[in-house]
Amino acid sequence: VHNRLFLIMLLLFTTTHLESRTIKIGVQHFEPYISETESDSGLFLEFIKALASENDWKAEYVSASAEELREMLARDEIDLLCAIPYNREMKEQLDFNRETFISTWGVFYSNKKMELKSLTDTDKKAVAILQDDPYGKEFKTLANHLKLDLTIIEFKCGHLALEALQEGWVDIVLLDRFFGALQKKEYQLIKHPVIIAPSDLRFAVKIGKNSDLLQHIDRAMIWQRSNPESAYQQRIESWIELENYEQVPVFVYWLFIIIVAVIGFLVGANRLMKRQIQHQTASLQQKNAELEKEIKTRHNITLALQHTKSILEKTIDNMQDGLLIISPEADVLIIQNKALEKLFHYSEQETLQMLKNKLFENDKALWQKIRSSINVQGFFQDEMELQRNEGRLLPCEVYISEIEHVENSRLWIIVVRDITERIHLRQAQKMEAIGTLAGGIAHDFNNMLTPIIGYSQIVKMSLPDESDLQAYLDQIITVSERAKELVSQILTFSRKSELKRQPLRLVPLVKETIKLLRSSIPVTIYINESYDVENDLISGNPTQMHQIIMNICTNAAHAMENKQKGKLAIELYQHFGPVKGWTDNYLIDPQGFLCLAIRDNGIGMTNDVVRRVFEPFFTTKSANKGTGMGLSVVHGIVQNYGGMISVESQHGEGTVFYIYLPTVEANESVQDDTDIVFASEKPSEHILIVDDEAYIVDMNVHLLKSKGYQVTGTTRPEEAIQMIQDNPNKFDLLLTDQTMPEMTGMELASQIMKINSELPIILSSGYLNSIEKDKLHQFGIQGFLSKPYSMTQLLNMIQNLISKSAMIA
Amino acid sequence: MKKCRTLFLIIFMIVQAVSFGEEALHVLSGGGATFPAPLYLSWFSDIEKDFGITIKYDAVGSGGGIEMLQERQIDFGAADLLLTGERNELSPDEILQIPATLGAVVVVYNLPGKPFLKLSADVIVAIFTGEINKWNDPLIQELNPGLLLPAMPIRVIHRSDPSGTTYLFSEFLSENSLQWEESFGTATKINWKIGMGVSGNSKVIEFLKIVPGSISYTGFNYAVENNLPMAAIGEKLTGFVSPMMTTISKAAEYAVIDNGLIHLEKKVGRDKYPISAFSYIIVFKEQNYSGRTLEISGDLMKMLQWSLTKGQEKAPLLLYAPLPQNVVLAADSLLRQIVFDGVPVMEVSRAQ
Repeated sequence: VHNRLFLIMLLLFTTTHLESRTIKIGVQHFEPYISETESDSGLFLEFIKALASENDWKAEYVSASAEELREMLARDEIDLLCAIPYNREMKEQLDFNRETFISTWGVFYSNKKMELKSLTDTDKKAVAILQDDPYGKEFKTLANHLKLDLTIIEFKCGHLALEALQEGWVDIVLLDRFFGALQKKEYQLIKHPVIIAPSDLRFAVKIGKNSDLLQHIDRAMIWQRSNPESAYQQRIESWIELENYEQVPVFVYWLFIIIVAVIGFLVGANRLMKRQIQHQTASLQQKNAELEKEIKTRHNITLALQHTKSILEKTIDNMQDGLLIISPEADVLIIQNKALEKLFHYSEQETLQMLKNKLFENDKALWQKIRSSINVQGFFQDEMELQRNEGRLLPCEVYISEIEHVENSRLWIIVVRDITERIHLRQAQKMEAIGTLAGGIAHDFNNMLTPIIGYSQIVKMSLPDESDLQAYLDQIITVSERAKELVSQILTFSRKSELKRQPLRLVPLVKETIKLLRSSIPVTIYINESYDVENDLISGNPTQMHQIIMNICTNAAHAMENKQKGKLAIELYQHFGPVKGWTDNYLIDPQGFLCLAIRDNGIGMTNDVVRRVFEPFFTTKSANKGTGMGLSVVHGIVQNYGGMISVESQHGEGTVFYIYLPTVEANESVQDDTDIVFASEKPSEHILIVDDEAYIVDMNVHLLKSKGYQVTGTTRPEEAIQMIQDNPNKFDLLLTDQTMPEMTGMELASQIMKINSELPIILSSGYLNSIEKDKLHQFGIQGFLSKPYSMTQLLNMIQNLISKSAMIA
Repeated sequence: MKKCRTLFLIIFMIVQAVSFGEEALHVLSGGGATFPAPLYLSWFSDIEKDFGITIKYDAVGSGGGIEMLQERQIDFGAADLLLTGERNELSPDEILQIPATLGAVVVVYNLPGKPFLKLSADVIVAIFTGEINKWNDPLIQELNPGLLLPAMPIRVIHRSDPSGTTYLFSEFLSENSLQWEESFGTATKINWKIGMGVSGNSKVIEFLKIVPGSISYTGFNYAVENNLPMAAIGEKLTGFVSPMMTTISKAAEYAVIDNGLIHLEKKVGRDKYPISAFSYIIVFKEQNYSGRTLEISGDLMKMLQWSLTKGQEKAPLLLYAPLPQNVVLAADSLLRQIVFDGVPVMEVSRAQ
């Protein structure tokens, strides 16, 4: 109130000389500042109206275009212009009041959403502008400069422009900032962030005129501005509020959008997360399943590994060969299998010590050999003797290979194989070979001895008894007989002797032999005999059995020569179950064996000696003490009887020989060939002799002819067949050799049997095994003569067969 | 030295040849009215074929053309109105305004059913001042008894830019309505009290087609091209004349030739379309300005002579009414006044 009073006072004071003054005001339509329709409405006019009323002026309004109004002002037809933009162009033409009445600008509005962020966005659009406002003018200039292709439609007033916008004739309306704010709600306008032609609107007068009027206006304006209650101030504030009103909704709108977007985002993110969690869960489940699978797989692998390990352990433990895994320095033992323990009976530490002694310390040369062999060919392999825990040496094959272990360390894998058996087999094979060789030689010797003895006897018979030559012939025959004996021994060793075997009780035979032995061995040797038998019946030759016992016992006596108390134990007992022979071959006989064990405490034998003990002509004795055939013959006899001989000897401790012989039942009979008494009367039968050896044929032809037989001889079996075919009854007997190049005696016999089954046949052979002997009858062979046979044997058999045949006939 | 001189000579000759080549290009430049622009462009294309003269034309509006000529930037200007020497215009004494073709301003409207309207000058004034604002106003209805006019508001569209079309239209209204003459007069731009202002003939038509119940004024050829209904103008007593090539040409027969100015009166008449007018090519009488040559003036002369003869034959094809013979003769007499250094160009070029 005070302010107002002051202002009124001031105005009264300053305007006394303007009393009852008429002010002509030029107006052009410029809403909301000047409204043409109502001459005194609009912010500017209301202000002037109030001012005029306060100063008691008379206000007259002249309406025209802006241009016309300026012309009118120049012609002094009007005094004051309202809402004139305060710019350089206008300042040159007009005087302005000091205070800006209002600051405003043009704003683009549309009623549809569109992209309008710069002036160029108005291109190709229909833009409504107002005819007289400063913005339209500015926009036209700018559009022209920017060479925009748009349609500008000028309207007299904002409402028409807005109507055109509503009708859709125009796309955009360019309006005054406040006018737009006022119409915004009614026309549902969308404000775009492009403004144009910011202007300070002021009052203007002709240059140099009405300056007092401008002062009045300025003063009133200052007062109005400083007074919040003033109409001006309130109007401006309401407009700004209106203008900002749209800001709020926009803000709220954006806020809402943002909130919705955030919520949407959160929901989306939630869903996404849910999906991801589901996905991750699924993935985890899958991974879990995979892990479980892997665990199962690993478990299976572990089981498989354990299984494999178990198999390996079992394999290692079940190996027949000893296995050792050690460090190359033999200071760490990693594995020692059961087979090795069994072979050597060592603890692990003892094994290491034994190896160290054997491989590394005692024999440097061996160590070098092992090392270089491993370096060169990757392994070492050799046969050697390793000492057992009890001291015996075991023949072994040792295989050493080196493998890489962790951290560049190396390991030795040692495989130890007990080769006792192999060595024995080797011995057996050697014996077999020697036997075959000796047998062959003996056979030939026999063939040679037969004519020597035969012809010697013929010559002896042909000579008168008193001839000096008789003594020489006796010498020949004696030496030949000795040679025959040697050959016989060789054949016995090589199991090719054909001494007659008979059921034989061993107990009396052993007892009798010991009696004989007692007298031939030193008295210092104590003989202990023991018998534990139920059935002592074997199939054998008493001479040979005697020979066996004598031979072994003599050897034992020799071994105990230097002993104070020699001890010879002879044990006879029943043995059931398998029998292991000298070469570790096994024999099984369900009826069991009779075992004759001959044990001495003599000097014993080394392994080397044991290995060769049965070899013929092998002897450790001096030349005059033995031929080296003794044990060979024993071996041959036992083998021939289907038995076994084994020997155990410890050097310096003594030796044991075990002789296993198959027993026979008491009722079993052994074929007994008794000599046939030679007939003295002269025969006339025709005998055919076949032998590939011409001298044997000649000898026999000569011998039999001398006894009165008709004799035909041939060296060719086929010729013999032919002869019998030509005249089947020509011959009364056939004597054939078994071993001939064209065909065997048996084959010849079978052929001839087809022609004349009645013909008696005698087969002779250097040696013939028992199986072949059994077959003789199948081939119709009635007599068999073992070379070398005596003339008596031959004549007896011929006589025997011919007489048998005659009896049948 | 001798060699150098020979070389210099050769270079000089080449430079000369090049500069002669440029002079021989025969380029004319003009600018101004948009109304006759389609016809002119067609003409100039033919002239280039016939004479090898290239003519550039900028359709910047009558005012712009006058301005450019005033500043002597171009060889000729084009305007739809006769310059009277008012304000800062060129003095009619130094220039020649040669009628080149005939134009007509027609009243067009956007009404449902495209009815054929008859309008008098008074009714047109009433409409364009807002006194009549409904199509079914009795004044309009009285002139068109057979039509059932809609009760739509009349929406006036006018030109917002300075325009020869507005000038001719306001001239016609001024000549026939005292009220108009007093309120608005004749001008390229009118201080309209109502309606919507649009710049250029094309935009006017474009906007007219959008706004139902709208009415505006435009060039005859624009209306024909856009198939817009055109009002027949007249008075009940004298009858109404529709804008047609014949009625426009007929109007030209009434041409007023006054002290070198050839123009048409816009009074309503029995058989002529009243809002007909010449479109002028404006040249300086004295052609020796801004370093122009006689050759250029000769080319300009050829262009003008071709336009008044062959050009007129071609005009109807492009919806421009040909000049009647009396006008062509009057125009030809103007050509004779074109001089170069005071010597009539027609004489010089004919002598050449």
